[in-house]
Amino acid sequence: MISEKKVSLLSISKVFLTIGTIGFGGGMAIIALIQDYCVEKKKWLSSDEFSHGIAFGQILGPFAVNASIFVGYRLRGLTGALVAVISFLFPSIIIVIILTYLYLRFHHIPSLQSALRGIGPVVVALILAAAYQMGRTRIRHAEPVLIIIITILLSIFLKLQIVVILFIAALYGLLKVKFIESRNK
Amino acid sequence: MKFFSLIPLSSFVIIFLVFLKIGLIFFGGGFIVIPVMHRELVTEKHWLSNQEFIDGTAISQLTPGPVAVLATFAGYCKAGLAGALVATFAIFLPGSLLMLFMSWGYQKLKNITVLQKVLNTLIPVIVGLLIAASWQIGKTTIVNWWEAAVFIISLIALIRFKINPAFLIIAAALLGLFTNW
Repeated sequence: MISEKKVSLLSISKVFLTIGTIGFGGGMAIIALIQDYCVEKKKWLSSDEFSHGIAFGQILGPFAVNASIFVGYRLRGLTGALVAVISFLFPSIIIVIILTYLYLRFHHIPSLQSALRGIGPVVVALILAAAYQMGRTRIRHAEPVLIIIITILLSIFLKLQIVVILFIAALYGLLKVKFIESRNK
Repeated sequence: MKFFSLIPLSSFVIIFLVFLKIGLIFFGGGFIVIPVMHRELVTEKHWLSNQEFIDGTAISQLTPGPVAVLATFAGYCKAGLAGALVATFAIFLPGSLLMLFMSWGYQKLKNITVLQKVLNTLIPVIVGLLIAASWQIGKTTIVNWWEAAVFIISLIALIRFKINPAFLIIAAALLGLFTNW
């Protein structure tokens, strides 16, 4: 750790409340914001420590919740982690609760109905864009493309449980890694 | 007495368990939560309609938080404010515990590359699940040329121009409001 002085829980809370309030844009944008505050501005962690920690938190994509937990934990242990993650999520949870309250109260109004119908195609595009961003750099040859197609078939037509699909894939991944390792020896 | 029996305690236990299960699958974070929650809440449990699921996803994108705050929306729809808090706590619990463990042992875990390699093979699976979910959600949502046009423009805006999703959602809502298609 760079600073020997103990960072106060209040300042951890303040920083993550700020990030959780202004951090629009999602994913990598928020990770960058956390880095900007905790590494550059406050010098709570070294750049190396931050990127090592974040690597664990974003195994399946950038995830600001895990980054908050990691930074909080490195600074003040379990309490620090809890303060960081609760502060980060707090503004979003409040926003969702207020919007959901308004939604349940007013969504039967016809003009709001047509506004909501306009949102549908955007949400579908959002999900596909997430798929694209996730696969863009990693899907470069035939094998992952085949896995994608098999997954779609298993999910839509066989209606297999998602846990089961993920389990089969993890098993396949494990066997593949073992096979490659034993061949390289 | 009737007031107290409105939402029985047992339904909070059910909400907790359902979102805990979703949280166990979603430990890596990100959009994997969409296919998992759609399957669990819309297809199997019928807690949300397809349209409600879409609206909840849109609301989650209006916050700085992860898309998993969709759990807050779903919990609220099911059992009000307390339901929202229970669902939110449950969905983040497993991943947060795992991350705590990793933060604690991160000096020792630095070299676990096998785990990383195995998890890498999950990526195309998650991509496939997302494509399947977008097809299932889209087939009832994109039914005319207008909606197809909004879909394609949004896709280009998100991928090519990296437009903020919150901005697109608000723009599409206003467009829907004024054109009334």
